[in-house]
Amino acid sequence: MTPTAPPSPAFDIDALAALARLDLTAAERERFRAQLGDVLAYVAQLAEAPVGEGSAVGQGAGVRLRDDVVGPSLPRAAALANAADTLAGYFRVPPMRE
Amino acid sequence: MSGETTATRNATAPSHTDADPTRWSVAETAAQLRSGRTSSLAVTEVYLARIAADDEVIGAYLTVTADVARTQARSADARRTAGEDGPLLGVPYALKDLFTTAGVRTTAGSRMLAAYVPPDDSTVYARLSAAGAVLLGKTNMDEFAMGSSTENSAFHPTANPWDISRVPGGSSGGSTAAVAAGMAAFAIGTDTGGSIRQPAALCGVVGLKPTYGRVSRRGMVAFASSLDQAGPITRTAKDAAAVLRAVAGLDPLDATSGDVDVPDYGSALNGDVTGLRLGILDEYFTAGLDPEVRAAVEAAIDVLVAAGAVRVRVQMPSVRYAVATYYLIATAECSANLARYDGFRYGATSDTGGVWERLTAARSVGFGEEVKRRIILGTNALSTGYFDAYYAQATRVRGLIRTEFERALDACDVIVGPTVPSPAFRRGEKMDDPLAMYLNDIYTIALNLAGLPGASVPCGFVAGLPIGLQIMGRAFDEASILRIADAYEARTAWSTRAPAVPADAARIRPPRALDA
Repeated sequence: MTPTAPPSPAFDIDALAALARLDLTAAERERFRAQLGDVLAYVAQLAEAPVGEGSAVGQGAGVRLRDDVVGPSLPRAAALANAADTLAGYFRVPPMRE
Repeated sequence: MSGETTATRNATAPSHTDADPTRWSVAETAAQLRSGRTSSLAVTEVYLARIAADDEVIGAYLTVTADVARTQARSADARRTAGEDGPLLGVPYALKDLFTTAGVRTTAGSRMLAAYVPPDDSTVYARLSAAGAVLLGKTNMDEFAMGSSTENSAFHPTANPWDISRVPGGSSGGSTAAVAAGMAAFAIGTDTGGSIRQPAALCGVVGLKPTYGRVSRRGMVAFASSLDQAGPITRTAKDAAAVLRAVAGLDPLDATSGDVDVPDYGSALNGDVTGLRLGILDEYFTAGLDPEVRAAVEAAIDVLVAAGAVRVRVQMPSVRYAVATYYLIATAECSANLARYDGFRYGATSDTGGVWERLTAARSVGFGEEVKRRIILGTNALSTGYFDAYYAQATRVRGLIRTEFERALDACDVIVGPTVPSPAFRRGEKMDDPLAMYLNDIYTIALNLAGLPGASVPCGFVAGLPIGLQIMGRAFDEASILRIADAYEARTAWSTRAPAVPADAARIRPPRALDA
């Protein structure tokens, strides 16, 4: 399939940071805006690649699934050992809605 | 000697003597242990003393596991006394701090995981432990393996042992610096876009990135899961063969590990390259290549041709898209993989506000700048309206690159060329220009996209700094790569040189506080 022309390197850095759950400092926001613009301008060259004959390669190619049988797993105490907070064998987090 | 292009500032003549265990190869160490002339504990103590003396200047280690090392060394000595033998039994090594080690903190070079103590062992560490290797410590790296200079470590940079004002490369720069500076007999690194081969070239050691699926990724902190692969960093090709054999092979706990037999690589190292076809890739000898690097790489190819190998010209026009393809695919996978850092289950935390405030605060404080930059790039690549033009197109170009590699490797047995376009750069030189940093991986990245194996072997010096010859091969044919690397080593003397770490240099990192 033929890709459409790449979107303009313009992008909304605040919207992307919000999607990625990152708070950027003012300095980071300014630096990233310029640097990511450079990188996106560079990757725009992919639109011209003659991809007609090749098939896409993505994550998951060649994955071999194991049998769906119960096996040993991490003990609960070990799984919780690095948690910020726990309660009665569970990870404890603040309420989603107060 | 063919390939001798420049002066050898910093290089001591072969410092490689029976008297200094920290210059022994893995094979020499095992031979010394086998002979009974020394013990694993004695060799381990020499390494720990070397680390204590030099690592404040080099900064190769994030954690030195002295207690673990002594315990494992005693155990190896006991196993040997009981009649056991093995190529790694009792041999001290360094592990990139990306591999989980039960009870020993594993940081991935990130503030996010500064206090993380994993509950279980990575498969690579488990296999090395079973082989009797001795863990000296966990090495410095670019945060989450994102970088080409080890300057993105949240803790401290690492110096290149050949010139401490320069970077060791990255992201496995701590591992390659440790091996180069005699602070480990071998090390393990990971390579997502060149992170074993590029620092191996810049530090003058051997680095092998195996075929994707050759070595289990279980317990390796994930960056880009379709590209990440673990491999050995050593002083000789023979050592790389021994270490690869110990860690390679099917792992039921990694769905992408290959169900392919692991050959006895050592027996493939017969020194014979007669008739082997060396693919010379036009696209890797272009304008961006430093002329002195080019001369050294061409001289190295001459050595192999003189030994009976044959040159074959190959073309892969799509490798010019490799860096752009990589910085879409790797960042897309990184943004998805690093979404797991939520501030609750493990890693950095925040204790103010509700769920989303705490999660966002933990991520914003825990991740460094390059990681944030890549998460945002990947988020952009995967977002509505951009997905097809960026990520989907990148996966199609990736397919094209793989097809071209397969065709090229039908016409030749291996592809040879430079590992890096130029020798090690100075610390700070590229930190304000991410694109310039990314382009340092221009010769290594395509191989990861194709999932194929490749090694860097020392092939000379430019202005006193080491550079590497890259040898790339067919899927699961690490044996041919190692055979050529070993044959090249046998005809040159680069691998016998060692850098001299200046005794009076400034510290690169604060005195160690968090050792396990």
